[in-house]
Amino acid sequence: MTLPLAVAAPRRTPTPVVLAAVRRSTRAVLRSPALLVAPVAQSLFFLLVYAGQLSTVGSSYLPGTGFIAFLLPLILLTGVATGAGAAGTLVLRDITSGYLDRLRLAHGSTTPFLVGPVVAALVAVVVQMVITVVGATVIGYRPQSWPGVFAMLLLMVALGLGVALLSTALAIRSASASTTGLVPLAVFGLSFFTGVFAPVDELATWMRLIATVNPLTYIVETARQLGSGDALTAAPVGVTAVAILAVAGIAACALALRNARKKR
Amino acid sequence: MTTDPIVQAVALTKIYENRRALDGLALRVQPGSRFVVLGHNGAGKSTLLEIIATLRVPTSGSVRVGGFDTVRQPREAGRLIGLAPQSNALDPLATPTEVLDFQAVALGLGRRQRTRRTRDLLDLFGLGEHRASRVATLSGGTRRKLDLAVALVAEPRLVILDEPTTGLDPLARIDFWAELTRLNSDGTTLLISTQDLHEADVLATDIAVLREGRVVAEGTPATLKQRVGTRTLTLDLSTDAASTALVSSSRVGFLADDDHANRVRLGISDDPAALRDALAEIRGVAGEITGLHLSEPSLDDVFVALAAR
Repeated sequence: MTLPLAVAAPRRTPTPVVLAAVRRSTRAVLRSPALLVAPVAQSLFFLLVYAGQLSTVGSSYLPGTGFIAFLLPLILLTGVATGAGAAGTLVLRDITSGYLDRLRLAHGSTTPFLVGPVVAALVAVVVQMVITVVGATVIGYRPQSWPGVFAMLLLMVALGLGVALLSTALAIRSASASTTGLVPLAVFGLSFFTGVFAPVDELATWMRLIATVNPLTYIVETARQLGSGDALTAAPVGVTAVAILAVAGIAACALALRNARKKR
Repeated sequence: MTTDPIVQAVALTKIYENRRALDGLALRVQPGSRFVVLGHNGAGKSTLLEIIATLRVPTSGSVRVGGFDTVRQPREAGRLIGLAPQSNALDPLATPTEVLDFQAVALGLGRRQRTRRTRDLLDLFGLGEHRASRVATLSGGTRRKLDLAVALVAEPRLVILDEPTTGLDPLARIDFWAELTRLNSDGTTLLISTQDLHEADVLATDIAVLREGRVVAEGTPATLKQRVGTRTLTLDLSTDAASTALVSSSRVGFLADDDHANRVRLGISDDPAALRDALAEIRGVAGEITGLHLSEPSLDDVFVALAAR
């Protein structure tokens, strides 16, 4: 009979590994211009182009609201969609290179190495949103309430969590770059079927119908209301939509991991 | 004296949808050996190594590493294993220091142990001058050394290397082989898959030849070479027709040469009766012989005879 060799069991508590994984992924985001600079550039580009071209017209039909304040939540949302997708990109890189397998063999579990990219993507999203808000302030944005702006950023981070988790799940499930990019692409596309340049009530009938059933409309509206200090009439649907997206992301990751285990 | 094997695979089968990658494979790897798994593409080498490394689950059969079942005790088995996968499985945006330190964190080592282990491995593999360079900027040979260093962070008893020198230039390969031999001399068992017969000849103390998911031959390089003949006789004949006639009528196993239509080859064994039969056939074409060469068998001959589809 073969007796097992004696092996010392090292400490494998998850906290240091999760923290190290977050540090590593954050470093990767900061060292990859495409993952940080591109979303920032995209947000600033949209901000400058839309504000420069439409703010005069917009101010005429948005009495009491600055056009930049109206526009900013949507600019942030499109930036979140692009930036949070970095989580899937980072996970996919580790899957296709075989590095994730190597880390799983070392640690015994995959989870910390998925948490790292998700948190790193959210850090990138925060940096990108702060830069965008600063940029908006430079060209004339004056919020009614800074705590409201802070709450708006928190809402967007929560949305980013859902996007990051879903793109991570797709990376695990598909191991394909084009599939992993679908979530950010879908959120980015859907964001334009909201009240982008005008309130939903002012849209053409068919567009108003789409915007009414589009959950992103309520997230954008909630963000606008947080920034302007108005009553949070859109918040029940907006916050619920964000929560559902995050829960769906967690469930999708769990299912993708279970599927990966079954395929081993 | 018999030693408990560090790896023991029994009746190992792995089926992917409709494809049978491993088919009742059995294998024993002795501690301290340099065990090379040879086989053509699709023979099952990578699947075998992934199952041993606890990364895949067999459809049936079992593998024990150091006595631990890779399915029921993957963590215990995994602690004995250092893995260097086929591609450079590294973080391209990190530096060698960061990669080694992160591996040590994943293994659960404390801060002091991590610092010491990282420093020792950088020194051991001569990676000190690259410690702050990003992995993506390193040469293929340096990346492969780092790959091996990462596999050694856990101070494993078994290091698994999947096609370790693919893509390296000749000098980098020779350098890497020297690192592997040095590592093995300290008692670490190496389990290496390769298609490179020269690499197998240089490195292996033991070889298993895989074909269609089974081990079709196993032994030391010398014993495997003896299996296909102790020597190879090459005859150049005056015409292609003479060579074709000899191959088709041969009872001792003359083979045609793929590159020269007028050339035939025969593995010659130590068996006197077989030698007598071979000489009789050679005598039959004596007038046609224009060249003769007697050579030691190589692993190429072993591979052609045992692993060919």
